[in-house]
Amino acid sequence: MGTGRGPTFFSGLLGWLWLALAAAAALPGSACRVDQQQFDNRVFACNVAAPSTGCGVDDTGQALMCFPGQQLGATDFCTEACDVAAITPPDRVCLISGTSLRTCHPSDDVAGPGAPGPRSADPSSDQPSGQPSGQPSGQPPAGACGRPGLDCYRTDLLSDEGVCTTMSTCHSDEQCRDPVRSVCATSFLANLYAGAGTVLQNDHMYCLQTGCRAHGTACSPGETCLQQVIMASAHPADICVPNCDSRGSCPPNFFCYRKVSTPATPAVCIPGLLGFTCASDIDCMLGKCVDNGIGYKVCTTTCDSEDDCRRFDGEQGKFFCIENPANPTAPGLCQTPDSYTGSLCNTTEECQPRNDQELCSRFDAGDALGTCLLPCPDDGICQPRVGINHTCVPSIVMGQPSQVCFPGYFSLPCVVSSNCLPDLKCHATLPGGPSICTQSCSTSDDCQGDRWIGSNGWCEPQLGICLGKLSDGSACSTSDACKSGKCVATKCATSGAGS
Amino acid sequence: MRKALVLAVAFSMSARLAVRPPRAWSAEVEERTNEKLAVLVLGTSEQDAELADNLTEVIIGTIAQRRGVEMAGREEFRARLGLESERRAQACIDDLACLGRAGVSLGVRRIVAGTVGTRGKQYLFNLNLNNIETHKVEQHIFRMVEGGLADLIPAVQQACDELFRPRVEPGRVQLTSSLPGARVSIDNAYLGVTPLISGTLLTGKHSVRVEAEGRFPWVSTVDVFPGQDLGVNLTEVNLPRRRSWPTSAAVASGSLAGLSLAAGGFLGVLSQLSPSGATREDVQDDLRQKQRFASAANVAFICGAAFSAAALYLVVRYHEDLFGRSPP
Repeated sequence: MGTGRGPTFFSGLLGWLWLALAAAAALPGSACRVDQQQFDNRVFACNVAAPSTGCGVDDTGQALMCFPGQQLGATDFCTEACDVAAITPPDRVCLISGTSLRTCHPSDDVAGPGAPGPRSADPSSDQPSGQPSGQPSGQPPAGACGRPGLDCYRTDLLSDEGVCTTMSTCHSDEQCRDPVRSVCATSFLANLYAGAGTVLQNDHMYCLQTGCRAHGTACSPGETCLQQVIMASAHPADICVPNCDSRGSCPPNFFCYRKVSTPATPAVCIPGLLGFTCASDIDCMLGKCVDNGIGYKVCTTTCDSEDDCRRFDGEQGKFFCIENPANPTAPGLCQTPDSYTGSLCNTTEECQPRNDQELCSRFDAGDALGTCLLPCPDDGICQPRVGINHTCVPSIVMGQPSQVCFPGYFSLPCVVSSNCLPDLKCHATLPGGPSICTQSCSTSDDCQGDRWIGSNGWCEPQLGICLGKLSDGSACSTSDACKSGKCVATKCATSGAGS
Repeated sequence: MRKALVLAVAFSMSARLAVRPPRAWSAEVEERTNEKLAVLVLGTSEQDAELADNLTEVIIGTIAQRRGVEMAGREEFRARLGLESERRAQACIDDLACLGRAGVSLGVRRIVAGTVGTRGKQYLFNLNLNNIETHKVEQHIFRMVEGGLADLIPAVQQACDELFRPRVEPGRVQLTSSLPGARVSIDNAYLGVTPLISGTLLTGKHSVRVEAEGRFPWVSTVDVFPGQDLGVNLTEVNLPRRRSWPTSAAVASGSLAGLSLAAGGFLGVLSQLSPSGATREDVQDDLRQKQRFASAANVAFICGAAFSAAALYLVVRYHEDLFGRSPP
């Protein structure tokens, strides 16, 4: 009679059974898992101009947005959306456009900007993105941003702050191999703030196009030659800058001129240099965006002494340290009177969104555009704005003669010395003439040695004060008094005329 | 020739006695009984008559020595038969009734009768051990010997030994079952269906296997004795029902396990492909699809594991129903 197999057989089968069950239990955990982390770490290109950005949604189901990296010559890429009004996490920066960028520390790039490294910012790994035009060929490692394809772009020349973008950063012109964007902003800023020395941390910058006005070259699509849209009196640099998008958004370190000013200004993105108007910190290339309480904000930085500010003197303004009278122990802020010369305007209505007391005033009836300035008080003595002395100057408001407050620059009329910028005094001029903000002097060298007067003034020996240089054809007694530097037959000669 | 034959027989006997070991001799002595036998060998022709007489003497001597029985003399036997001519004697030894009459008169129970003849250089002889009581020929021996007398005598002596060797009777097995039509195999040879009577079987152990449709087979080893008719009656207890559903369940579980694991593997491979697409949204959609593939693969793997476990359980629990019972 047949019988069952022995216990060894059963033990073996049971052993195999448990082994099979253990293997089956371990299999799902080890075999079939999609690498979500790899997907999250990838940088996906997009096209802001496309009807659909194609960025999809994030882990929470919120739609991602397309960051316009093309404005800086980089690749547009997908990033998280954010609410400008909401509190932003410390590791993110929320741009006005509603896109959120991750913050970084440029110093975390051990090899420095431009170091060779992997780069991939594209929807699929088998579809490598093209090198953004104007970007350095060498790439930094993923250190600062922790993800291949992203590079840390400095957003403050005075601190170790940056944001992660697809742009390849630079710190020298040699790293900008694109013939169009051949200059690294580092060299441009080094010239602009020549006195700042090592205070400026101008690495991890972007490549830009220069000489568009001087060479008559066109800027890349979506960019504008700054000198063609900004008045020469504002000393704009001869560089190409991005245009604002339809929502008035600009890349980090830039602000949309029209958005922070008035509709009369061009919709271009202007670098957030010290003293420039801004909307948020990310707009400022130097310092922070500080609300002065007069309707708009400016990029500024803290100071403990005049020297802390004077090192930023240049074409974009002369700076002095202004302390808060209410809190004298707190650090002051570097300010320039150029920040308060008013925004361009056509009508007063354009001024009022920023400051409902400002008027659109023209210093010459023939000026196409005016500037938004406060009207003078009844006593004719303007109060300082943000610690900067203002003086009352004649102007035309809505076709009618009027007077508006203006920073007390050299040679402007004044009533008291508190109308004038620091170092300047309100001195009487010729009998019957107005007093002006100026400096007493013995020779013209005294005038030229003053930071507010410089080459614009000459020393009138009889009055012993510095006066503004005379235009061509004006009566003169010495060549120092003429802008052309030539006084011929008691009249200022035009430049190039024989002496 | 006769003297030579007698000398040869005497020499042969003394040689045998000399070499027989004591134990064998004593054992043979113990087998002696009070039985009385008669021996008669006839020649097939006139020329062989003397040879037949001599062989009769050899046989008498051999039997007397080996079995220790009382032997009736050749002449006495012939006289009791009352036969004078060889032809009539030949007819008598082939007739059990005739031998019976002679045996009764001689007072013997068994008679060794035979014939011997020559054909060229060959000796031919046959011997029958006739049982007067049962009226049967208990043993029959026929030999053809090449050579001379020296070869004939040992052959005759060996024939005498075989003549009295117990005859082995074959046995049979009669198989019946409460389930008619059960297939029967003995010693791995299919014989038929029950009820069945096997052919003659050698005595000893035989392997018997009985199978019925849907039943576990009955396998056993039976011991068949000589002449035995071994009766084997199998009931449903001996042929227990074999469940068919474990086989279906095991096959179904195994198949489902295979399909699940194959599907899991296929989906798993799909899920591990790099997601692709022209935009992040496309890649994300593709990634979600692959996540679904991965989830489905995991479910398939779990199902495969469950089905595998079920199949293994069925194999372990019902392995006899699946694979049958192993021989004992």
